[in-house]
Amino acid sequence: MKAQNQPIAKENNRRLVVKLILMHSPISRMELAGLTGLSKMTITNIVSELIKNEIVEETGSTGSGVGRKKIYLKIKQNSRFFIGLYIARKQLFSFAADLCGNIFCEKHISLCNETNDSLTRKVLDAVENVEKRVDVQKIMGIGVTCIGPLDSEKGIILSPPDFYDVHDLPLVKEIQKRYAYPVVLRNDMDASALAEKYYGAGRTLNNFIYLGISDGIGAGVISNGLLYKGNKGFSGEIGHTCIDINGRRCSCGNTGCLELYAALPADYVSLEYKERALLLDKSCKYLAAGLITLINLFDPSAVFIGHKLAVDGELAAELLQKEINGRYLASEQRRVEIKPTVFSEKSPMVGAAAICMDEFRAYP
Amino acid sequence: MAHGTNAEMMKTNNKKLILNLIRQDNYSRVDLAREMKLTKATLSILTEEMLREGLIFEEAAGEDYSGVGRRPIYIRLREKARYVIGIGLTRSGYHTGLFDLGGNAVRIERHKYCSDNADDNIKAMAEIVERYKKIVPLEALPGIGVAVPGPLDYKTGTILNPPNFEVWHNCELSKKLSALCGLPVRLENIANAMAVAEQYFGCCRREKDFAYVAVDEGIGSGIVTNGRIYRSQRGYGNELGHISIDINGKECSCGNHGCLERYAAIPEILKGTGYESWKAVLDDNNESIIRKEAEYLSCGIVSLLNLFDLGTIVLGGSISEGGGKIAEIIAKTVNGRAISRHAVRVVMSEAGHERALAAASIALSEFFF
Ligand SMILES: [Zn+2]
Ligand SMILES: [Zn+2]
Repeated sequence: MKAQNQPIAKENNRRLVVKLILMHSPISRMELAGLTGLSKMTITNIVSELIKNEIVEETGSTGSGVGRKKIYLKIKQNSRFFIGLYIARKQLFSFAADLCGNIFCEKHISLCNETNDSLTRKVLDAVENVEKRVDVQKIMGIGVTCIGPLDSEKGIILSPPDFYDVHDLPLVKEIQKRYAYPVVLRNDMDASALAEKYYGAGRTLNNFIYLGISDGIGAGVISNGLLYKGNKGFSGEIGHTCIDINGRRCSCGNTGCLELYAALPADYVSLEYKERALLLDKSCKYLAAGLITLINLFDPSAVFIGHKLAVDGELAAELLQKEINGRYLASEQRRVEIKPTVFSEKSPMVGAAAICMDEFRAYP
Repeated sequence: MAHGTNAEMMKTNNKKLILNLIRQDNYSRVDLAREMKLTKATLSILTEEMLREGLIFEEAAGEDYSGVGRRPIYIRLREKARYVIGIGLTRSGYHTGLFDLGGNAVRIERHKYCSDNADDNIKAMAEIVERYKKIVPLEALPGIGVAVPGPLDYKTGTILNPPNFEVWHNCELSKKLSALCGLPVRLENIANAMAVAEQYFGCCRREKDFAYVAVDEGIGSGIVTNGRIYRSQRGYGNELGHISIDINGKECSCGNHGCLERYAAIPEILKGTGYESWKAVLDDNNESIIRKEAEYLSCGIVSLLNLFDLGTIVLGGSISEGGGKIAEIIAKTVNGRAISRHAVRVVMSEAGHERALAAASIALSEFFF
């Protein structure tokens, strides 16, 4: 709970309206008033301002009903840009994204034997590269998604496992030494969950989970419409929950972690389909246990499968759905939809735009 | 998330925040303004109004004040300004109580169910509420909190289908009780209610992220995150007892394998040991059973920590009766295994096991804090 005053409330309402138009477009002013509980007058004022600033545009109705033509709203494409970065274990992706989540100017370079300094340099170069290629006036900020664990509040990359010599890197501060834009840093799982919320199949859902499976396994949780953040940003680590109390010791210090059994090899995507199918089958048996844990604790109405497993997303979703049915609590009373993400392997990239959308206060 | 903010909501929100802050610590007006990032003028409008409403009073810091300068004037919560009613249902009966804002009981009673019919029992509860309504001014009594075994739909105030609780299945308790006694009723599951009681009156008064873990016949959990109860939309979830700690383990009635509850619930850990209660294990100081139980619970608690990232785990239920040894063992184990870098406290419940107070805490959270 935070204290509120007129300017904060105004800003919050404006951000809320932008998000709702994004998630529910095309949507009318009347519907916005209904969803927010704000007066029609307040909505009209906010929308006029957003239209004037070219963030929102009107669109005619598509229906064929009689009477006055209804006017709907949507977010304008290419009106503003975020600079996006996705720091994976072996690659650094850089790109620009508009408010609608469209991605442009995508590039990637490989990472290897990085130190805090070398990674910082590569990140700064990447930002510069994107900045050169879009209208600087329209840049609203920089969104960085990175493998965890991170301290999002302080903008620090803490100690991702197997990540060369990179640890305790205050990346946000480093970027802000050179750029005046606001910068947001979030782990790739949380960002992917937000990607689903703003741009994907989670737009109309309030409680769902993004489950990312690569050589690591993690989850991002959307609860009551918001990203679940936890005490210090160490939440959603489903890969490090125990599924075998008598199992192997994990490098994290815990025993029998899900990740030890269900993670995919780093080269999964480049394997032959037959080999992938075998790995997938085995992985899903264990993943089901982790999935049931998530369902029994968070009660999501859907789980989106992503990261490398998204390559075989349809198949994985089908296998997992079969495995879990009847095994989570109250299976008869509630359905939990398992689906592949619509972004294939790109969730963390779309996520870079989504975290900006989620955090930034700077409309217009 | 979908709600916009208007002036009225802003004021309610800010007043709640003030009550929450002064509940935890010493705050002068200046401190409050700074903490809440409001101007002194805005804050004064709020505190003046709350003074008039009788919710707060001002008090000079005591002789022992050690800061620099003049002794500050603190804003205090006037505990006797308002009251709430709490009703906590168990499988065998229910507890009722009338409490002030400080959680002090004006009345507290235990009752047996009067029949096998939910409506009859609701009628009996409404009569008790009528009695309580005569004790304090009606305008000082905004509502009732009810705590029940889950699952439930907190939005409609309906009990769903908790095991061994058939009489109450699909009962729209909030609506029915509210219709009879004319007060708003908020329904919450007992583990969440216990967690909130710990937040207001127990061992988590200054904490924002913690879990209450009840270990009895079953294992339940309630979570407070960012200062508020963690709720899922459909009322399921928070079922720590049914997460698997062994994929090849014992079958559970829920359909899963190796559920924590099948190992660490009190009847399970006692099986074949000859002990009849956890207390007997403690009295005997049976190290190996205590360690085994600690290992099972740690396993589940690490999962909880790695998923929810909490600062404290409060142990409640029969496991918390008698001695904090198991909490110490669990603390050591989970701090070595959890991903987060910050230390996690593991402590025994302090708010006690009073279900009526837990239920009342839900009403306090709804109407004041
Ligand atoms: Zn691990
Ligand atoms: Zn179970």
